Amino acid sequence: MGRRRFLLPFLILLGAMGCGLSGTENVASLSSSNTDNVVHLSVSSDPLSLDPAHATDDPSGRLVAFLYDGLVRFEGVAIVPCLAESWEIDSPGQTYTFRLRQDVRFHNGRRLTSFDVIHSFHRLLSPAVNSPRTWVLDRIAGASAYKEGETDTIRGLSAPNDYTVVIRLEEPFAPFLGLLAMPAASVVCPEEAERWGEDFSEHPCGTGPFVFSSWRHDDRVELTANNDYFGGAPHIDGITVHVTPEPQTALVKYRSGRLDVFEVPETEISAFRTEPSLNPYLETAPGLVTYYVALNNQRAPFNDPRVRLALNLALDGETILETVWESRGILANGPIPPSLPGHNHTRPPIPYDPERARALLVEAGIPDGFPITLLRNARRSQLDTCDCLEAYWEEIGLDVNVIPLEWSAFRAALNDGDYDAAYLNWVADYPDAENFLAPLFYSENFGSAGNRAYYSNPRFDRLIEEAVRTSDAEEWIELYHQAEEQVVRDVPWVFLWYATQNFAHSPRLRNYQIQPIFNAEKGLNWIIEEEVD
Amino acid sequence: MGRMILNRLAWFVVVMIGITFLTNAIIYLIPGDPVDTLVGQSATEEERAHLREELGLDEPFVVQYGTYLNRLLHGDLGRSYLTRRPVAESIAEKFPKTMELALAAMIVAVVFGVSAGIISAVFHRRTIDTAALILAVLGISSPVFITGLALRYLFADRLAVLPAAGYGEGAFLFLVLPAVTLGSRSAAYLARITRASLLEVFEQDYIRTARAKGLSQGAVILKHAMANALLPLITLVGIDFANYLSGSVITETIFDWPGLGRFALDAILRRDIPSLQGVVLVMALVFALSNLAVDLLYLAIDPRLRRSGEEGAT
Repeated sequence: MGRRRFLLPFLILLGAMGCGLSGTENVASLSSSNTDNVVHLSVSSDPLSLDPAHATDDPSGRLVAFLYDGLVRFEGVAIVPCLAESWEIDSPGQTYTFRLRQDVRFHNGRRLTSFDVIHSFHRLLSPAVNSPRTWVLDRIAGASAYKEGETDTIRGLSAPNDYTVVIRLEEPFAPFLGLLAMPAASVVCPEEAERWGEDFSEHPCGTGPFVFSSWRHDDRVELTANNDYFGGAPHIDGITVHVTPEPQTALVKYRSGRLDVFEVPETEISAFRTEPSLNPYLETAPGLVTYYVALNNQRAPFNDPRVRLALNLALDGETILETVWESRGILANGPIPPSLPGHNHTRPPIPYDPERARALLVEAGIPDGFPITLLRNARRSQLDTCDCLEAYWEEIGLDVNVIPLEWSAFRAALNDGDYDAAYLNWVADYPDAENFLAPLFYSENFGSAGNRAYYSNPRFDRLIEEAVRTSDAEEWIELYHQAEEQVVRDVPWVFLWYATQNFAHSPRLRNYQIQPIFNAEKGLNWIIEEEVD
Repeated sequence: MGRMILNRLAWFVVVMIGITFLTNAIIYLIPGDPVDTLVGQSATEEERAHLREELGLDEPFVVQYGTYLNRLLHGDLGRSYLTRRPVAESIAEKFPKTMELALAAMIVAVVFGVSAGIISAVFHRRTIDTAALILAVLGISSPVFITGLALRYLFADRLAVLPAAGYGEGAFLFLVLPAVTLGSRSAAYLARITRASLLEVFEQDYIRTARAKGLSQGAVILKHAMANALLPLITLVGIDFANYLSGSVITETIFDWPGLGRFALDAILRRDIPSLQGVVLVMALVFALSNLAVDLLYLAIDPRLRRSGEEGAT
């Protein structure tokens, strides 16, 4: 008797808790879809900074494109006017003269002049700001001296009048315009940047199509439309960027209509391809990312091009792409992705031919194979791919040892240079074939500068040097072709694939298009439809 | 008693200094360079060296540690290398969210643990006691990441009654799974300890006396038995509370909870040294403080300790 009476309060308590748990009102509010005229985006991590000088990650770069403008911007992979309405490049390609629009205002209402551009570029390179992106502008004459604190101004920057900016480079560099479209080269409002100093990131002020409204860290950033935007007001009232690290959470939000744009993770791609309710909203576009294995070209036996070619021939890239990668990529025939001018559309990828691979090893004098250590990032997504590489290489008699390392340790090991091979990818900084050649294969860029294969070929070096000095578009494309051809002939890498981008948009969002480079989207075309059945 | 408190406080200071030293030494020794996260996919050696110099990373360990201590004494936790935000600001933003989770976990642990313990003790060697034992063993032996993923799979993915992850602007339902995950292990411990202490107390003469007086079972347990079984429970809850902070690293990562735990993990992965130093310091502080609180609470609850303390025991 006594025991039962004693139990009763506990049972009531448990019952009450059970009711609390199954209360549905909050779950219901989870699934109420958006009805505002605001585009809801999702990013996988809290943006590092909304100050262009420190916006080094992808989420920050996307937001910087909404908040700020540069002299030029990307449209697809092309470079089009933005703050500058036109420009001239002198014949050696060393001096750039930009004419600015006269109808541009900062979010604080002040009119933009050439002074602001000059100031922003000084700010990026200033030792006090300590930006990790100074390399974007350090080709400007006198930039290095200024960066080191040796001079007070940058010699190569001048403003002959309120609406003209002249930039003189240390030496001609054809892809320079692409650099000017990067987030770091955005024009910031000098008085606001000065006022907030290191906290400018929390109070960003630019000229972009959207104005900063609020930022709750690790939760969301809210922007409102800039109705005075010089390029015309956006069709939407604003953009809310939700920080959703967990893809599953983002998926739930997307399916319940609370996200208008959603990056479809690897695990969901087949569902989006097959389910009729999801499929119409899936967008796929080639990205500017090349996956490869860097082989240490300075080290035996990888200093023998026959061995490197054998490693390429041993892989059935097509099958790995179809299975492990769920066809989220295109087989690579060289380093330059297909959406860039300079990609060679006619050359076939290296075929899968294990017989020839084995024959090449015999020819190279190592018929019994050799040990190879492959470094990889310890992320789960890289496990399956590297398992495949291991299996295919063991097929031709190699003794493969895959070493997974946590990201920072991986980078440290890479910088040491003490490895046979490393599974890597390269993401475009700016959409130019040069960005897929010079950092990765130029002999002065060994190691951390990008040439992880320690590849060196004087002919390639010469072609690149020539290409960046050439202002004629057709001529430099020809030079890039030749340079890439040289690389493919020397096979410093195992060429794998170019990744595609997969995004889904909500039924109510119109004119959504995947941009090849992350900061090309300004949100100016987006339209929210009021009623969707 | 006063001397004992002073003694505890002195140890507290020593522990805190030791923590800062160890944290700095470990960060200095682990492979990986904060500059790598800053520069992105490529940077020349020259650029890297320049950044290292700007951040003071080229200094020898002793100088770096000295600079850090000096800053700390001025109440400055520094700014994140990556976001340039003051670390103190980030921590102030995330700390309450972790405390919210830790408190919820503690409530889960105490409510479920203690009640399961009482039920087990009352129904000693009956089916319900065995069932509780099995549950407790399961709970104790499952690591947080297993419990978390299992609960998430069951309640969010299969049954879809609870959100899978996120903070949900503070909505209660978002708290349930992480709190249960974080609290389940200590609930299991608490259940076993409560049961054991109660069974021991039940054997005591004064319980028999209380029963003989004709008191109801509930009154005997709550008024007489529990009061004496409380001591080990308080220790456990106190120490566990600190464990919730370290456990929160995994729980918060599984459930996307924007608290200190995830902040710590991000800082580690990105080698964001100032953030990492700050968060470890705060966690150590909470750890040490909750231990101190348990010690002091002991003194308040148990008169015997007060006396022995005056005799010079620590």
